[in-house]
Amino acid sequence: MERGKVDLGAALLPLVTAGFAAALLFFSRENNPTAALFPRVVGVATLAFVLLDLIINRTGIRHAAPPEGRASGGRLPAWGIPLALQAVYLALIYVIGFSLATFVFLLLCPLVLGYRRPAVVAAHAVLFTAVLVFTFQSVFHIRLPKGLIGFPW
Amino acid sequence: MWAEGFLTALQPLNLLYLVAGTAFGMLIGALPGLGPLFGVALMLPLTFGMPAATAIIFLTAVHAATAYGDSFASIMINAPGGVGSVASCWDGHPMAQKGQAGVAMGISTFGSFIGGVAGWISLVALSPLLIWVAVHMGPPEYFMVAVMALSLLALASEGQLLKGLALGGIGLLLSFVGRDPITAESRFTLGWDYLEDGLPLAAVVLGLFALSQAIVLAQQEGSISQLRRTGNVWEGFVKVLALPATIARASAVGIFMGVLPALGLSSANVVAYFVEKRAAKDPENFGRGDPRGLLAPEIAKNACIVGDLIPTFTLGIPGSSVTAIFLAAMIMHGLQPGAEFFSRSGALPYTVFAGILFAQVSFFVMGLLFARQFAKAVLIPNAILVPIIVALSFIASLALRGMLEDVLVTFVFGILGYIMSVYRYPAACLVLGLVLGDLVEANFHRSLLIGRGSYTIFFTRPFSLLLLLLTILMLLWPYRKTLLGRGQSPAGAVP
Repeated sequence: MERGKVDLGAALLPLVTAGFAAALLFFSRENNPTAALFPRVVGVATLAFVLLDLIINRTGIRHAAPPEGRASGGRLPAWGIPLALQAVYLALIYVIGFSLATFVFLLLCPLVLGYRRPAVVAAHAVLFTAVLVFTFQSVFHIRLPKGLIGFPW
Repeated sequence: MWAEGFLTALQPLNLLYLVAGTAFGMLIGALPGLGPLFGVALMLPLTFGMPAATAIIFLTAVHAATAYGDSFASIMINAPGGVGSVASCWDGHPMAQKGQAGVAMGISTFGSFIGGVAGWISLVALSPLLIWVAVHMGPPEYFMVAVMALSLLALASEGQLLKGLALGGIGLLLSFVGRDPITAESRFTLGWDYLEDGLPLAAVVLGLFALSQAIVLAQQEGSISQLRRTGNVWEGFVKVLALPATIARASAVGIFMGVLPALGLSSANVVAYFVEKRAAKDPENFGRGDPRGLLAPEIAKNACIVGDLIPTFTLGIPGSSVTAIFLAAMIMHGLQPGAEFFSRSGALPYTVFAGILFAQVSFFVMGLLFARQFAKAVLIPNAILVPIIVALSFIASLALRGMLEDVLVTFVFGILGYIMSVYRYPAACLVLGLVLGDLVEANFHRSLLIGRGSYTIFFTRPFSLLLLLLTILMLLWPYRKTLLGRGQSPAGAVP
């Protein structure tokens, strides 16, 4: 059996899966027998599958290194940058509204990801935001979040 | 009657709305996450001033074209265009990555057309038989159909049975969040009103497949198709014609799932994919750009949406939320669905049926014109495409219910989807569980209520027993040689 450092990423998913199943099992005690029956059956089965998988494939969570590479020399792993950008975009929607947040996101994201033609990025950000907001707001009549600042569009 | 119906459907006004509905449907469909429900609901108010036949033809065109257009995003950017085209990502996108985006679009266009026509033929010719089957199916039979579909988890797990089963379990558990279908008691909502209606399937699917894909693409330089080519749309047509068995199987699945109320678009494409994979002699090629893996869900999806209309027109029972809108449109225009629709409406039913067929032709022709242009999306640099995918996913999540919480759900499932893709967890199992959870649970309890608490109801009804035996047969099929003592179990068979 291969012995190495435990890959936290590989261990995370079984833990989340088992934790979620266990949590639902725990909360199912608040429900009446009819409502609790399926969650209990499925919850116990899921826990059993996760445990069996961990026992049978325990070498699978032991690797010398995580399967996906890290950003060379950077502080964030390669996946961290797009994930952080998405989180910032979501937070911006809440604060400054969808239209402004989308414009800022479309402006920053390509540059952060290494695209080096600012004029193209700026034109794309303006055009795409305008088309998206117009289509959803004026054609589909969807109310887009205006954010805490109450941005008019 | 038929000739009159076809002639009425061919009137300039009807053709105009047919084309307009198709163009609008394709636009809506191409946006990730926005499926037929969104398109048809949005267009319903526009039909107020139209003649009845024109209104139904218009909505049918929107319906068919949205379902078809859903596949664009699935194939090009691995972001499901709607819940009905989740399975189209699994082989459609790998084809696009291999420089065969045009071929994939050809398969999608021709496959969707074939599926739509197969659904139409069933609507016209097999309605009485299909309705007979549908009315003889009660909760025990629906439960067994859902169990049969769940048995596909083993196949969806791609050789990682325990992981697949665990993820299927998580999908089922996620589907239990919200109100219990029998007692209406709140479950696992943690006091959060947002969760009372359960997790929104579209938001979950967008996160699992679209946002996770955005994270993957952001780490790669260049474009989706590293080969800088898209292939030929016509090549896709040729591939479709070479797969008659796939066409037959997927059409049957789509029509069957469409006719049965509650088994709709979201499950038809996924089930058709796994039925096709099960039937294949080389299932290991699925998920790597196998044309059969794209053709099956495409055919099933469009056969399902037409099949869905059968109980709506003939019995007045909507098979899904979309056909409930059709029902509303019919009533709004003074039409009585059910037997009276055929006996008292003159040539109108035939006009509507002709319109449904023309809707398939309409999106097929438009697809031919634009498929090649859409295929070029795979040549856009990833650095530009990634923010587009994220913005479209977020706005699609918002558009469905106007709730910012839906975007949060998409974001969270995006992280989960990314971790699953990195560690090769079969996300399809989670989707299968999530789609089927409500169906399994609700029909199990309903069956017990009908059977006064006795489990024998599942074995004493002929259809239910037949479905159970079919499920057992499907599960044992890979081991038939071992069981019969004639050889080894297949290498790919799960332990």
